[in-house]
Amino acid sequence: MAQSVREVMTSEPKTVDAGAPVVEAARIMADADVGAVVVVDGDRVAGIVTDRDITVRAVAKGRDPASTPVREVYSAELTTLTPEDTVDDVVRLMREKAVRRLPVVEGGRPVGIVSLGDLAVEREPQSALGDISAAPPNP
Amino acid sequence: MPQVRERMTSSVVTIEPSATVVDAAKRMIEQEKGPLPVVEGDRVVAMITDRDIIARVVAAGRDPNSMTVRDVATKDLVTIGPDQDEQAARQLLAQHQLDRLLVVEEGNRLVGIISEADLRADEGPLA
Repeated sequence: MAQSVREVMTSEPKTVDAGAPVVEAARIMADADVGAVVVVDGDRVAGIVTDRDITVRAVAKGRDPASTPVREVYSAELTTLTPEDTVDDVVRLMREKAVRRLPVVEGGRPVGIVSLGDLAVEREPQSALGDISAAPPNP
Repeated sequence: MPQVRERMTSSVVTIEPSATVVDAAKRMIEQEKGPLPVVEGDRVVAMITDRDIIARVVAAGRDPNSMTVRDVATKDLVTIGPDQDEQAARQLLAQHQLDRLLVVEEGNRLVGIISEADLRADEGPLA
């Protein structure tokens, strides 16, 4: 049977509200020693914010992390996974969308994150996803 | 067995310790690079990563314009010599769970950088 998202995802992801300041997302990352946090807007999963997003869209632009909201720097992602999706589905979606991380949602709640690094396929430079791995962050 | 010298990338984008954190972040995106080696003259003294910027500047509520690379860069470096064999590089990467190593000659003179991708470049698809 094909490997499922549930088997490869990082469970119980940290979340941050889209309206929270970037400094709060950074604190969550630092405290939990993670590089990506799920962004929620009300009770909807809106996307993911990464350490790279903060570096590129806040710090490099000289914006004040205390007054810049997460919603201005995160990568909005309308595509979500369910724990029952297969790794093949993830590979296809990541290729189509040229993204390296996707949120996993169950019953409207964020239950995980799958990153390219969680998929063994990333180890193959000739694979379909090799180019995504080397690509810059999403605009 | 090939030496590190044959696999490494010799043109390395670097940053100076006195640069601001904003400058470091700008250079990371201009060059589409991740971690930047921090050099004084041609000697490497530290490494600055996204993670350093997030944890030591943004999360700490500090102003990236007034913090320098020297204040936040990681000084524990894992390095390798250009004449060592590539298997030694693989072992160091695995041991320290890194995706790249700084290649230095005597006196920590930076001569290149070698990444996981450089090391698997000639492996077949089934390797």
